[in-house]
Amino acid sequence: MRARGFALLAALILLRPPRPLLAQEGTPPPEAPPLTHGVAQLVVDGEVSSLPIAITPQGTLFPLAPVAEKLGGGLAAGPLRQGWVLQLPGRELVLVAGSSSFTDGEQIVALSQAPADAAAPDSPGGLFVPIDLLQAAWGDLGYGFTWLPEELRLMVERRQLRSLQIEVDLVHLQGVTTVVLQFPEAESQAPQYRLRTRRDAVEVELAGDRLLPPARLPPPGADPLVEGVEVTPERVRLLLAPDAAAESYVLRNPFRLVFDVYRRSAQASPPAEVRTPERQPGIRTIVLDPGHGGTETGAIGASGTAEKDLTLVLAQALKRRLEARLPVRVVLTRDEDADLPLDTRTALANQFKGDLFVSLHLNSSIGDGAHGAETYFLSMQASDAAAASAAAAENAPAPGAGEGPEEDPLYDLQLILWDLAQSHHLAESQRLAGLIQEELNTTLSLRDRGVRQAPFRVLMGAAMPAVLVELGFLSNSQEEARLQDPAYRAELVEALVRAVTRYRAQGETARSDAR
Amino acid sequence: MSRRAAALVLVAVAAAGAAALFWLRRDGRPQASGPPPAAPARQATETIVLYFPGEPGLLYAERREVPEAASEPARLKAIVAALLAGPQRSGLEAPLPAGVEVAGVFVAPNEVAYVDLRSPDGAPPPAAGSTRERLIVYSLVNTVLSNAREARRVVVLWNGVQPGAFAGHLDTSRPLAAATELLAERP
Repeated sequence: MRARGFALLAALILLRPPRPLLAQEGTPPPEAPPLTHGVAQLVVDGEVSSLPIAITPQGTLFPLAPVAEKLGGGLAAGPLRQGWVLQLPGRELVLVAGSSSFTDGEQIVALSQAPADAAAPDSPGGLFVPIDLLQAAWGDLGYGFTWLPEELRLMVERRQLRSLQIEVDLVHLQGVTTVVLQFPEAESQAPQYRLRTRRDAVEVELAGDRLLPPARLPPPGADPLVEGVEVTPERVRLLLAPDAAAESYVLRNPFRLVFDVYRRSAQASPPAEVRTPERQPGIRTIVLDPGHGGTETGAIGASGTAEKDLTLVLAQALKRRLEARLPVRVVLTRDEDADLPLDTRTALANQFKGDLFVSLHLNSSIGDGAHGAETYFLSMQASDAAAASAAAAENAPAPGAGEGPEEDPLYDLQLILWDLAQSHHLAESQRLAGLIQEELNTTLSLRDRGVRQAPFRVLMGAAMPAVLVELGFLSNSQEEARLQDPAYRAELVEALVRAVTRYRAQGETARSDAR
Repeated sequence: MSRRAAALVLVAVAAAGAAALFWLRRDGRPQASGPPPAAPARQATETIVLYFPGEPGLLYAERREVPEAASEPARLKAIVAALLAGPQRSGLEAPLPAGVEVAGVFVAPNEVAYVDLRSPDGAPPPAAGSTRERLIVYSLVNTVLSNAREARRVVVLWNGVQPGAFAGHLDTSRPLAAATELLAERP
């Protein structure tokens, strides 16, 4: 409930007009467009009622409240009495008068014109919205809207229920089963559905369409986490194994509903049967990635220090110290000054069956003021499977940009699974990042720039806890000078060794407690 | 000419002058036989917002009043060109080195804006640490999304190609949403 309140408040802050992301002081708010009031007819499946309208230079606005009353939907004032919240089955839309966007869950959707608080003298008032908002709100429920300005009629018609084809795919990889429900004929209009989570199943209940029997279904009992998939005209049911849980997300173009099924107990300590035989619990292999290399220099300091050179020196020293201190194998993604694509670095880490991936970097910023260390793990924007895969689906090749990997029909699925590989390790990545940052802060008196998240490509495909450490700013002349000092670099290396040692020890303790 | 004739000429000239003066002052301009010509239209303008990198690693808003463009692609191209040209305020920087130009900006039906940048001699994106790289990329992304009418995400193309990572860190193989955490509250 509290999280929902925060989400609504965040949406309201996001939607607050004017449009620039930050309003500057002294800038007057834009004037609301002049409104002319009128009365039209609302025709819903042949039933006629009167409907106040507001006419602006950009077009006609329709009152939301009576439409919601007719078609179904709750309309309430937003938190702190700011904006409006339209509640629809399984969805919440947040609107603000004067803002030409609204939020639909986590999505921000643009409107043809901003809604207006447009109380006419003889109308009940409330929020007036453009027709595209009505279409966005109720279109998925099967309603179509047509405005006939000459006749002053808003026609609302409910389309026929669709009989949708469904395809069910199931993949099991590294302890996670991914189930993809694809609706190939629903590209233009996504099916509306409700999710119901039960103790031993997850159900997808169609709100306005019906499902045709799928051509094939995964055989029952073939997957360790999903015992079966049942499809009826009204719903899809995933039968989960005991102790299994599912998270869902949506991909578009075409519309797909994806479930990530995992063992609840695997989050703390994955059971042996869902791990690859070669990868045993504990930290046995650490992959160090010296950032940049070859023609890609990375940041260049004022006195000419190249990031690629220092990261290699640091990684080589860290490898020696880690192998001396811990019973681990340490592998470098590059051991010379050579170009190495980011995806290859992660692929190597996976190939080496690394238990940790640490990418070493040195930073640069605008001017020379920024200094200090910071440690990154993958941001939710990048790792959240819904966002990432939706973005990938949107990522059609640009005109003139040539053909991309999106041409490959399997690319999306590969991308999803690849991203999931890291998203499954985010908590551990965060724990490692926290320990590294703590050690760097306490022992080196560096400015604490903190643990951060960013969509860094080198972290995305790692099937293990993965962090990127920025050990200082080459754009800061004092820090550049320190980084050129071998004694200082040795201190940095020792801080990283201590962090990895603590991380490993914490993992051992957790495992022995579990036993 | 007799004195009487001269007086008549003077009266006639004075009457004509008075009539002309009355005619001119009646509405401030000579009357034409057809409909009056339209007054020259004042060029419509709009306010845009540009986000420039500045210390300590944040993006600062700068507003400009610019003439309205004929089309959305032309408008967005002009906005990105203004961003690349650099800030008017001291202490801020242009996101990219001089010489980098915008070849075009277009918004695809999936509400993704493509910003096509061209570098002199096809040079790669400038070398940068991750902080600088994020400032470069998100100055473009945040600027476009603040001004575009129908875009929700941005793809940055470099010499017509979408880089996997702009300067070796940030994943630019996917459309990017605005990064509000990089915005400075007070320029």
